[in-house]
Parts: sequence; C-alpha cells; structure tokens
Amino acid sequence: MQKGITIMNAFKLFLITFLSIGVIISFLGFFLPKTPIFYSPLILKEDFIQINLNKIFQSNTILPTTQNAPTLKWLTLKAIYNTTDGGFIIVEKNKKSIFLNINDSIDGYKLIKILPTKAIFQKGNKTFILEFKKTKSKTFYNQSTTYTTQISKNTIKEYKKDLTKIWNNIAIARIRGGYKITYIKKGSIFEKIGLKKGDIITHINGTRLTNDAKAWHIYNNIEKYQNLTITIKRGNQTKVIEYEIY
Amino acid sequence: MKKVIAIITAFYLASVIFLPKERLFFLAQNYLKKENIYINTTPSEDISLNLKESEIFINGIKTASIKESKIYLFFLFNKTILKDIKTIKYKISSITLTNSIISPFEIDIKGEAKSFSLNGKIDLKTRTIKVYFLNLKDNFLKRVLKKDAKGYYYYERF
Repeated sequence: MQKGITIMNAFKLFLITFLSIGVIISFLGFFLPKTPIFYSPLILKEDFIQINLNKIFQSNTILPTTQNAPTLKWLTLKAIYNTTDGGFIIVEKNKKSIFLNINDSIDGYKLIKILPTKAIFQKGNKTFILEFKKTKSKTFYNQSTTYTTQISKNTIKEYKKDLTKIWNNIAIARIRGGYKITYIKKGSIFEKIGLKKGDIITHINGTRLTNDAKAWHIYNNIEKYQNLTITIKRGNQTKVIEYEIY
Repeated sequence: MKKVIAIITAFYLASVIFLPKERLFFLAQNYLKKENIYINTTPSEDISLNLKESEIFINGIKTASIKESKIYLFFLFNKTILKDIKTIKYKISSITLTNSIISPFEIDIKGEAKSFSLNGKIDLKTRTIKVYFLNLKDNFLKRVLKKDAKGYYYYERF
C-alpha cells in the first residue's frame, strides 16, 4: 500500500514537472524569431536587356558587299568603339573630330556598320569603306580594341556540363577589380578565343565583376546569351572581346 | 530517490518534446545571415525538425540543394540526416552528422556518394573540420584535396 502511494506520488511529481517545464519552454519560445528568412537570388539588370533590337530590326536587311567598295578619301578614321549594340567611330574632317553612331550621316553618307578595323557607309545604293590609314610607325593606338569571335552554343554546353574540362584548361584567381587568368593551356579553346595568361577580366556584358555572385550568375545563364562581351585588361590596354554565340 | 528520477525524467522528456525546433531554426538562420549564408527551406516539426527542398546560398551563390533533412535533438544524443544533396558538381546520396554527450564538442560526419564516401569530424573546441574522402575515384578531387597516410582529406578552420 505504502509502495503504491509512493509510486503515485512519484508519478504526480513527474506529471507536474513535465507540464511545468513544457509551459516554461513554450513561453520562452515566444522570444525566438517567428518567421523564416528567405534569400532572393541576384537578378542582374542585363537579364532584361538581352533582346538585341538592332538584330531584330536589321534581321531582314542584307548588308551590301564591301568587296572593291570605294573609300571615303576626304575623311580620316581616327578611332573605333565597337559594342554589341553598335558602337561609334571618330572621324576627322578638315582637322575637326566628329563622333558618328550607327545610322548617323555625314555629307549624305550614312554609317551602317562598324567592324573591328573599318567602317561601312552607304549613300543611295552604293557602299563605301573607311579604314584606318596605314602608318609607318609600328605602334598603333586604339581607344578601345575590339575583337569578334564566334563560338557555338554546343561548345558552351559541353564545357558547362563538365567543370573539370574548364579547370583543366584555364585557371583564374579573384583579384581586386576582377579575375586574373593565371594559367591557360596551350591549344585550348580559351587560347583560341583570344584569352591570354595575365589577362584580367573586369566586365562581362557590361557587368562589372565585383563579386563571385555576379560571375556565377552569368555562368549559370550563359546559354541564354546571343552575344558575350568580355572586357579585359592586358598590360596597360583595355580590350573588348566580343563573342557571337550561334 | 524515485522522486529525483521522476523529476529528471520529466525534465528531460519535456525539454525534448516541447523544444521549439522551428523557432530555433529561424534563430540559426538569423545567425547565419551575418555570415552571408542563407538556407531557403520549408520547415516542419514533430519529434524531429524536418526541412524539405532546402537551398543553401553562400555569398550569393547557390552552393547546394538538399532534398530532405531531419534533425533530431535529444540533448544526450543528436543526429542530423541529410538526403540527396546536390552541389555544383557532385551528388551525395546522404550525409549523417551525430553528436553525443560522451563527446559533446565533436560532431561525427559520415556520407555516401557515387565516387567517394565521407568520414570526418567537426571539432567545436578547435573550430576545425576534417573530412576524409574514402574510395575516391574522382581525379579532380584528388588534385584539389590534401593527402596523408589515411587518404585524401578536406581540412578547414572556421
């Protein structure tokens, strides 16, 4: 009988303690955060300007042939700045410098296309070329040197699937201001598309690479791009390499 | 004596059952936010804390996704089971983290993937993590990891 009472008392004590502790812990829980934290991944502005209007409106336009096209002798081509959305040139006329964008005209000659080393003008049905004048000097100064390379989507997909393939051929290190190429395998695709050891990649498609998140965002969405513009610092020069993805 | 056992047992059971696991998880999220680590997930709790379809972002980069996580907090013995983990390059079928009152400052890690298995420890006193990659077949990892007599391992201070 006494044992039974002792067990009963122990059980009552167990129950009271159990419920009391339960209440205390539940009360303390009210001081903890009530809602979760959700992170929204970075959305870069460039995602909304990937539609290249120039390409859409010019898609039906057949560019005239420039073979044997006459040159505009009274103009001097001083500089070319070529970008995915057109760019501009600087010409000199009567010792005066003039900026021309795509579709701008000078003396009735309309600028229709900018290439890495020449500009194409049109007047009526005729095509005219303006190239850099050949100089005796070996040094050649360009405000911005632009190269265009074509690269297939399949190649990009192939490399994106297998990171080892990338890391076997190129090594990059994060530095202040961008990413420095510390190694490029000879004969690799990265060498073929114009990159060199020591290049510092500062921008891709106008986006300054200030952190890893931006670089990863571009990498993860690379298949969506039709064009890629990579700005690199090579020695003292800034170069823009343009890739057309077909 | 019986009263003492009754009180201790009641205290232990109440702590385990009434522990606000979800809210403690939210508290952990707030702490990780300061380190720029985010976990997007849907938590629920019963005897364990369950996290479904979790995504882990570190410094803005989606580093891993975990299909299912179960966290058992029993104070004397704690266990976390992670299933179907996908990182940027690898898929790991499961990782188990265990901690007991026998070694309260150590967390054992065990995991399984196609091209390796994991066996390691997190030392909370020295703030280090050391994980061995056993039966490693991946050549890329072999170049990236360090090596000693036991095999290839990953070592980090935090």
